[in-house]
Amino acid sequence: MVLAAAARFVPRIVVTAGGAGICGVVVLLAMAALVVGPGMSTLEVPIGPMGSVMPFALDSLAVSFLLLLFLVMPCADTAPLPLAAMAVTVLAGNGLALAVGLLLLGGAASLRPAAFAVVCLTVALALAGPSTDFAVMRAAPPDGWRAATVLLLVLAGAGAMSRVNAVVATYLVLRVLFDLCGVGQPLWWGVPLLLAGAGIAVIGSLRGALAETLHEVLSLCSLNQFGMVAMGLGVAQFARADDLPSVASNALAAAWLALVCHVLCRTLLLRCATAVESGAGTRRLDRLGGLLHHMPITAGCCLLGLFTIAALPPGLGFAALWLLFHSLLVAARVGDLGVQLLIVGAVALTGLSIGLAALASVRLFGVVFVGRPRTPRAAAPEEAPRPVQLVLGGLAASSGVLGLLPALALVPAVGWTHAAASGQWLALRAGAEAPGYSPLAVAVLAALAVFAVLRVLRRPGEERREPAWSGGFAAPPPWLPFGDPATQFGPASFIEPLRRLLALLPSAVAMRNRLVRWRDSLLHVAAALVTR
Amino acid sequence: MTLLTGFVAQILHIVLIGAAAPTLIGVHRWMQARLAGRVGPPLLQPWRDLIRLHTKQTVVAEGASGMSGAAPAVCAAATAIGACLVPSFALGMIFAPFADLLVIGGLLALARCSAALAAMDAGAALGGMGASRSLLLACVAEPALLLVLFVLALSAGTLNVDLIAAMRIETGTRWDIVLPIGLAATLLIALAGTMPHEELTLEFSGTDLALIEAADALRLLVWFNMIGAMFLPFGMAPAGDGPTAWAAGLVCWLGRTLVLAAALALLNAVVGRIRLVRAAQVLCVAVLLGLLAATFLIAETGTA
Repeated sequence: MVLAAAARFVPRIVVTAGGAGICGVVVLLAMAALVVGPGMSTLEVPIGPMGSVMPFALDSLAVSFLLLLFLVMPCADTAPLPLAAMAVTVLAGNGLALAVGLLLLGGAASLRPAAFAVVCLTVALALAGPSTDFAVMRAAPPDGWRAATVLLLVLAGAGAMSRVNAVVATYLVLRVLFDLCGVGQPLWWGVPLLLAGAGIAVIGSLRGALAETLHEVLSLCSLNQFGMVAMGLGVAQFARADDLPSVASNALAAAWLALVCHVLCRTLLLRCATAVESGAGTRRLDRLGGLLHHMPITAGCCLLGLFTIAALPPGLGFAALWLLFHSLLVAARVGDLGVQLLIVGAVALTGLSIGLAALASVRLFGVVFVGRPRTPRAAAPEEAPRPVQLVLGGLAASSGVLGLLPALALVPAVGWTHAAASGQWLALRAGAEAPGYSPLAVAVLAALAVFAVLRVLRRPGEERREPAWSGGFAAPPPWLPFGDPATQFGPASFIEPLRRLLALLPSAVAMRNRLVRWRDSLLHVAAALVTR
Repeated sequence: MTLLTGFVAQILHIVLIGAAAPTLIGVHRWMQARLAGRVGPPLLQPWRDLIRLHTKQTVVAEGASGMSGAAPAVCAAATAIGACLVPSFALGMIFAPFADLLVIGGLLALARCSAALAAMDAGAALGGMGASRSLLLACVAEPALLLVLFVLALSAGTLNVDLIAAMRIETGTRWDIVLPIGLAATLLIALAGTMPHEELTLEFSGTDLALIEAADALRLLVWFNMIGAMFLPFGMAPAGDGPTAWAAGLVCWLGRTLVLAAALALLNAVVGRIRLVRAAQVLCVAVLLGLLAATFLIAETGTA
């Protein structure tokens, strides 16, 4: 907080160093809390009106989120104030502290969604119990219509908050719905979460595939993973309502993995996009191309992030997908027919969103980083400066390592997911006996195979370079040294078949046009009758 | 002992699929030619093509990056690992614990994405078109595939293809309403998934082209083996059995693969080339079949 206040007056480097120092201290403290064990420590800070205190509590949920926020957010170049606000939110011990944290975060980022979330949460907490203190609320969870209203309000608030920060939104859902409202909530509580998750995943990936600027594509595509977070939470609620703790812990672990993947890759990809924008001067896809030659580090990190987001093995996104699929599988055996059919629909929508995310990823990488430059400016980009390269490389390496050892990513969350991590360092397992998914084995096999192919079959130094065949177009004029950019497949042409397929779907616009046409013809007839 | 037989079976399996994949393409082309009334190429023609391509010089487009060299290798390697994991004639191979169907699907997707990126590398129009088409079809194929896997895993209790096949052999396949629908959906997915995209291969030459073609051949064999292991594992040698059971399994595998190849050739002769929109429609039908199978399965287990 002090650092944030001082940020205007002292040089940037001091703020950065101080922020990094504080982050390091917080990360160390959180790790210490993790090592010490599942105790809950509280701290009462005497600030606030009329001698009231603001309690802060550090339990396993708060520790894991604190760790995630303070490890990744500094890489996203977050200013000290939002970071402090996130810490206040995550550590809040009662409703007041939570609201203060959210408002601070909103004031630092964007106020409207945060204010909406605070209003929703305030009403929800007021409905949930007599006191806003979390310990009191845990003792007397709401039920009946109160619980339903709390669910809807919290989901609305978290939905608004997810525009500001996805981690905080997930934390709100986990804290209020899963922690404070207890384990006794009904089965249908999972339905809105599951539906919202499937919707977010598909719509995010679809809009990402259709978007036209780097930042839009990347931030929308990473919603694929955020949707998986919500779906995992929904499945966990199903399992908890049906008293299946092992399934619930699997689903919560899937949600946590997807959240880690979402945050890591979103940060990585947006930093890559910013590096491309400052290096090549634009963020429009149709003005870029062939950046791999000049920005190899940025391109490599971006490729890793894209493959992780698109849930390709052996990445972190695939590990999350694997766990989610297995928990969906068990959840399909519980509940009544409606819930089961919903789960089947969710499986289909998950597949659709993965496919769309893969399409969007290949489109982005194929248009921006490989191929020929589309503008003169894109032909001479500058690689990102060394510190940015380090950040990108660190984020990419951590997402790669966590993809190979997903159990490592699950460790901070063991306290609240209760996923048994012992003896499972190399593989993810859905059941005790079942053969699981071991990313390390897949990666080792893949590396061996690639090595064998390259070593045995390839003979280096034998390539001949020729101009690419331009598909029968006329030779480019001399002022286009990289060929005519219009003869390449561009971002718009890449999704043309997708647009055609989408046009086959019944759309709201087409329905409205048809209605308008009917109305017009009716009016026409009426007018003709009247004039006659 | 089981470990040793598993190891030997795995080695034999790798040799078998390596030898069989290009030959399968040859057999398929020969059958297609016979059905069209032509004499047809020799069965080993794909082998000759691969060897010829490997000895030729690689020509790379001027603006191409390192992606052109690396991506075909990744594509071939990912498909080859997928092929190693799916059992052909014997169960209980040493890689069997890793043979998760979701992982195999993911490896095929990885191969598809890297081939698409490699095709876009030269900066020509047709490569981009092929990439766009193959990924668009994958968008519709993924939901269908996940639904089929969901149905299989719900009915078998596991997603490991080795365990699924073992369970089918032990308890016998119940051909009630769910499995035929699932099989139909899988056949449609395989049909669209093994559809060749010629535009993807246009920019490659020499060893790279050989790798891409080998990956195509392997993908066809992976799908045949997957259909066999998931739905028709007749005669597969159970885990731990020795060479006699392997021989019987080999004969059954040969018969199954030839029947599937003949069916595919017949379909190609009757339908001809499948257009993109038609393939997307076929995959939509596969999605609907998958939904139907899942619904039937849930209704069945719900009332049971």
